[in-house]
Amino acid sequence: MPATQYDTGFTDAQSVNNIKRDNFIYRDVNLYFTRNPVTSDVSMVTDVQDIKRAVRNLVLLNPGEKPFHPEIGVGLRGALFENFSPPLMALIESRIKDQCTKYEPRVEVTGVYFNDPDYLNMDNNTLHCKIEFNVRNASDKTEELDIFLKRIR
Amino acid sequence: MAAGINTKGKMSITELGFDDIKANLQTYLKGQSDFTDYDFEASGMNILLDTLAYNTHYNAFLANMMANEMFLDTAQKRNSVTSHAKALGYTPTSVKAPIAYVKVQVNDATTPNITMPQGFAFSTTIDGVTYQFVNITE
Repeated sequence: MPATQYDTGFTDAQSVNNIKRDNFIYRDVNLYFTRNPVTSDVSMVTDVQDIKRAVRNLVLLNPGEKPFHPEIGVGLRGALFENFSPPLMALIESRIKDQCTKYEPRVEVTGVYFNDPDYLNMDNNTLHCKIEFNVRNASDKTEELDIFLKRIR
Repeated sequence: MAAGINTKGKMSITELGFDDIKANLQTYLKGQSDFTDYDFEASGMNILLDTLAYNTHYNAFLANMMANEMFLDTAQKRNSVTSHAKALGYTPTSVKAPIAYVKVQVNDATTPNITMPQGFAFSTTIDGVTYQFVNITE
């Protein structure tokens, strides 16, 4: 029987593309808690996928959610029901760049894009955010992180 | 931690601060064979450790607060102190409003009876400070 699919309210594009030039492999626990088919243990995310998850966690974290560190977090999830306006997008963009510079030194954000030039997502209560960044020490390829925020119910 | 004690597989539980609890959890998990190869500074692992450490910190704070409030010497909350005092046969009082009994003289009355309604305001000045009084009944 297939596992129950829960609507998490966001999706992101992630691929397992390990860096060829770096001999250090980042490893993290997979917060989706999927099963490793071989070991039956919780699967791990590694390298670029790990970095993308870290950026995603930072971007979706609301300020004040991390215990005793209210300064950490972009608060993109908290912006879901804000007014859909260019100033808000500019604010989110600057916060993403600031927070990644401070708290995710492995990446260098090169661009934050909201793929909604005509505000067509406004009535769907949806926000599509694409973050482009280079991984430091392996900047031969630009990585992309798509975060698609929508209401759950 | 005292030197010479075998701490393998044991977790230090004496610290109560959030960061210390988190560091202890990290040290403990690093020593477990089930978590070999994990990076304990990584984002996802940090979220889990934050949750565990916060829960422990919360319970420690609750236990500390409860222990303090259970004794008259260390209780901080007024409710707890009065409750302990009550058990010793002493009922503390709180701030009370002053009561004044006044004799009212009405000049140039046009009716034989005059009623002052509830809430009728009086004011007086004592040593330059103005005090307001109201009728509590009709």
